[in-house]
This record gives sequence, structure tokens and C-alpha cells, in this order.
Amino acid sequence: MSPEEEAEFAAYVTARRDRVRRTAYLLCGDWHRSDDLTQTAFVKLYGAWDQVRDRAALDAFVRRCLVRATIDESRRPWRRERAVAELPQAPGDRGLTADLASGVVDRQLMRQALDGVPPGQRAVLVLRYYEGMDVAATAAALECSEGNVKSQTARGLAALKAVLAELGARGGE
Amino acid sequence: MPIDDDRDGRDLRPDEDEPAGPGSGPQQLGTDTVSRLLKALADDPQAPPSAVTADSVLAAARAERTRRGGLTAVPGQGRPAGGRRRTGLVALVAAAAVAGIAAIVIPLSSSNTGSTTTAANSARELAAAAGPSDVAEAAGPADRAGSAGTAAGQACWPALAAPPAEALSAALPPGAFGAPLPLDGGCEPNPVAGAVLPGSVPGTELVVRVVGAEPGACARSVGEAGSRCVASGGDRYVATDPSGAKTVIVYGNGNEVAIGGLRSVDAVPSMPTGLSADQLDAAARALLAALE
Repeated sequence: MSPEEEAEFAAYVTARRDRVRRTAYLLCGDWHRSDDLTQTAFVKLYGAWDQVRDRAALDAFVRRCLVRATIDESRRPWRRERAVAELPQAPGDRGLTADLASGVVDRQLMRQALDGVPPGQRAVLVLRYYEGMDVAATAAALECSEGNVKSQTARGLAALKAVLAELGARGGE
Repeated sequence: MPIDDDRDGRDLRPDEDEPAGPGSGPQQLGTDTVSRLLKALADDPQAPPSAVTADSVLAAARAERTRRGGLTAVPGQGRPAGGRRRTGLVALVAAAAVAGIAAIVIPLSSSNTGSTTTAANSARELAAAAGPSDVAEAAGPADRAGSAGTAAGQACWPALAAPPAEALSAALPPGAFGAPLPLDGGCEPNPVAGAVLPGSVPGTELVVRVVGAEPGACARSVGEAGSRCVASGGDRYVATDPSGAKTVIVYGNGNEVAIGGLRSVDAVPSMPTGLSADQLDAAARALLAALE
């Protein structure tokens, strides 16, 4: 990569780092791991910089690398997510409120709820409802069919709803 | 992609899986609510500062490129380096598994059949029964070769000194053999001297091998065809190869003197000497006496 290209790449990383890192956090649930995943995605982009001629496609490429790295990482034995009989104790003694999107406790609830969704479905939810991608773009990013994205979306939403309901019920006890 | 396929073939319409509109709780969890929740979660003001910088990415990317020797993952072109690494790892594990299974199965099958027990194993068992001091003498041909080195032409036999050579020549039938020549190959443990005497009759020769050994060591040493020699009365031992040629072995003063047609313990068939066992015995004893 020439110095000019490296400068261009560095500018792109600086501009997109926070956004990519937030997406990674939603996918993995840990800020430090999200740093690792962010770096992994950008490193892959560096290797493919010459091949990505359409600069508008950079975000999609990074997103795809990020999701792939996240799911690969979650499948490693030492990182594999394990099903538990009961969900962790909900923070605080509050139930779900109308202003669920605000407040630290609600954020923790959402984090726990998102962690209760399988990684693949979680990726679909994040891409669709955080990144704002449509079904076709999500299918392209995840390299699967649009029908698969739709079904995973429905299942992910149902799982999220179920976990939130359970957390809310537990918090209200 | 790691997402499971929709096995039941359902093709959900967008309005089936996306309850639209804002929700006020889990029972009314709409897509807008999910979006807001995700955004709130991602915009955590208590998030630690990022450790990722353009410099750190560039450094990691350069290191990665160096490590992979310039190979990089290019979209649409598979995963060249990762794929090779994974393939190599799988091949390594498979090879190790095969070697491990072979290491277990082959000895088991050998011990079960019995007929394939090697001479080296027999020798080791015999050596273990005889005690540590006899290990060298009782070692089989393979072990002898391994310990002393049997590369052809290797000079492991000291030449026969003049007095023993003269005594040997004097004990042999006049004119039957020429002067002693250096013996090469067929190395054995504790070599003392070795020589080969070309016979005057074409196709005959006499091989002399002297090694340090306790009396009867040859009888305790077991080759593939059995014991190297058999006792033949007194302290004389005789080894007979498949062609019927004999080698006489006598002991004295910690030496083993073998005279006959065998160039080494595993050289089969030997060259004929044209001498009887008694003539060989007389020559061996003369040589043994000269060595003292």
C-alpha cells in the first residue's frame, strides 16, 4: 500500500472507528472484545484495500468482516456462549418502564436481553435495527438468503421479547 | 455464513416479523423500540475509551502481512492463508493420530502372533534375564549393528598384531591361506582384532574375529535363526551357517576368538574355508594363546 493509500485508510479508520466499535459492542457485549473485533475488521480491510474499488462499499465490507469475526469468535471453545437454566439476576428492582431506552439500568437490561439472543439472530437484529439495513443488504452482509434474514429477524425479535419479559417479570418480583 | 438456514422453509413476510410502530413494553416490542434500545445501549456514556487507533490498525495490519508472507484475505477469493493453516493443522492432527494408532496396534499385533517377534526383542529379553553385564554380548544382530555401526567398509576391526598373526599362520595347513588382511565391516562390540586370510583355493577364505566377551556369550546371543552357536564340548562353540560351513569359537582371558567363513554374525551364507572343525579349533586356540 502506498503512503497516499495508507493516509486514506487511516482517515477512514479514524472516521468510522466509533461506529464500528459500537456495532461490535452490540454484537459481542464487551467493550474490550469490541476493540479486538474492530481492529480485526479494519486489519482485514487493510488487506483488501486495493481490491475494494468502490469506496462506498467500504462500510459494508467492514460490517461483514465484523459480523463474521464476531460469530467466529463466539464459536471458539473458550468464548463459546453457554445456555444456562436461569437468566442472571436483573439489575435493580425495577421492571420495564416506558422509557426503557434511557437510564443505566435499562441499558443493562437490554444488554442482558441481547446476550440472551443467539449470535446469528443477534447479528440480524443489530444490522437491521441499529445499522438500519434492509433485508437485502442484511442478507448480503451475512451472505445468506433474504428469507433466512426474515426468519432470523422474527426469531430474534421473539427471543428478545421473551428475554425482556422474563427480566422484567423478575425485576418486578 | 454462520446463520442457520430456515429449515422449515417459511418465508415470512416483512409485516409478519416486524411489528411496526413504537412499543411501550415487552408485549409491544416494536422495531422502533428495538432501534432505540440498541442505540441507547451502543451510546453508553460509561464505555471505556477505545484502544483502536489508525496507527494501531496499521501496525497490526503490517504485522499480519509480514506474518502471512504477503498473503491477505481478499473478499471473494476465499481465505488463502487461513485455509492453508487450517488444512495444515488438520493434516498434522491426522498424521499424529495415525502414528499413535500404529504405535499401539503394531506392537499389539506382533505380540499376539508371536511369530513376528523380532530377534532384537528376544535378545533384549535374554539380556534382561542374563543381567546387565551380559547385555552387550546378548544383543541381537540388529542391536550389534546399531551399537557398533555396520556400514560397509567401516574400519572397526584393529589389525591382527604380528605375533598372533604368525601363530595363526603356523596353525593353519601350510600354503592354504595367504597373509592376514584387514577385516572391514561386520562390526561388533568390544573389537580386539580382525583379519581375513584369502584362501589359495579360489572361493575360499578364513575370517578371524576377536572380541572381548565372557565364555559362552555366543550361545546366549540369539539371532533370527536362533542361538549364534552351540556348545561343542569343553569350551568350544560352533556356529554353522545354512550352507553347512562352520565357524569355531573359543574363549580365554576375556576374549572370544571366532575363526571360520563368517565375516560377521549376520553374514549368511559365509565363504567356505575348506577346513574341518578341528582344524579351525586348533587355529583358534593358537591365536588365543598368542593373544595372552
